[in-house]
Amino acid sequence: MHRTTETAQKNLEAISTILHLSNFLPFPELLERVNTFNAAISRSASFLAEKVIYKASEAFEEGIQDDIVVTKDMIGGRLSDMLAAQAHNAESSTSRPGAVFLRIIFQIFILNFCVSEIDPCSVISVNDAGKHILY
Amino acid sequence: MQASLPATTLRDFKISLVKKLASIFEVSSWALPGAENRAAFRMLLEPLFEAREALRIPMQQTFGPANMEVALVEPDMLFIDEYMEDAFASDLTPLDGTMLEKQTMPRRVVCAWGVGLKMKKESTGEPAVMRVLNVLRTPVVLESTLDSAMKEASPVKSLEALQAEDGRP
Repeated sequence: MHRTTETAQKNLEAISTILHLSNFLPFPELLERVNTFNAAISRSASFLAEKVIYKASEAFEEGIQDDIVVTKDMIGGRLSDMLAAQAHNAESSTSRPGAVFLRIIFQIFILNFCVSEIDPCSVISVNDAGKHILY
Repeated sequence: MQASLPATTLRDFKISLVKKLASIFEVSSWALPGAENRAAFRMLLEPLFEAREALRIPMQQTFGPANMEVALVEPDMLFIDEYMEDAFASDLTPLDGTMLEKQTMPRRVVCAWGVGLKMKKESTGEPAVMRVLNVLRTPVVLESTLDSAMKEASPVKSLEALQAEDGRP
């Protein structure tokens, strides 16, 4: 992911505002930690996306149901359904899953795993009316 | 996503993550082949754990008084440029006016790609209103990116399609 000049400018302006409001906090260090965290997630997700192959599942039906619950919890119901739907490729193809799809799934999984343990309430939510909801 | 108690040791972190990854592998029929690959992945979890700890501890302690928080974006939200950043923006190559037209339409978020930073600030007016001051925009995956990825993620062609490509009846 490449940050645009416009994005960098906006970030700098926002950081300047924050520093003005609360000059006792080492924000540059916090920003560095966020960037390091995001980069570590990307490295792990990228590695999995490069190495993963199809392999037919040998789990019992009961076990699969438990795995589906965990998967939905980690990446959401919609992506979990997509994962299950594409699983049939393992039976009929020797090709690899799509690279971007793999990357998205692993990135989201690792991010959600880590964030669920940092602060599960830190969510910016915007409804269809464009209203910002805080949690 | 259910909240869970943080794994505060590298060992617990690895065990918990790998266990959940195994569930994803079962559902998707994916696998990480080879002991070397699995060992290499476990090695990658060490800097990941350190990075998470380096963020988790200050977010809960040092930076608490400033109302600073990790910023995430919920699935299915509308894309708001002020708070969000398209993680795949640089991969978009406008070829004609169609792409520009798409970008002006409301875009929907599939999920967050990373974390950003936000600050909660209460206004001084009456009545007081809590505002979100963006510090670092949260990278997200857009619906359009997932749609493209799903087309790419369908490598299996039907027999009819293969016969059509070969010119066979």
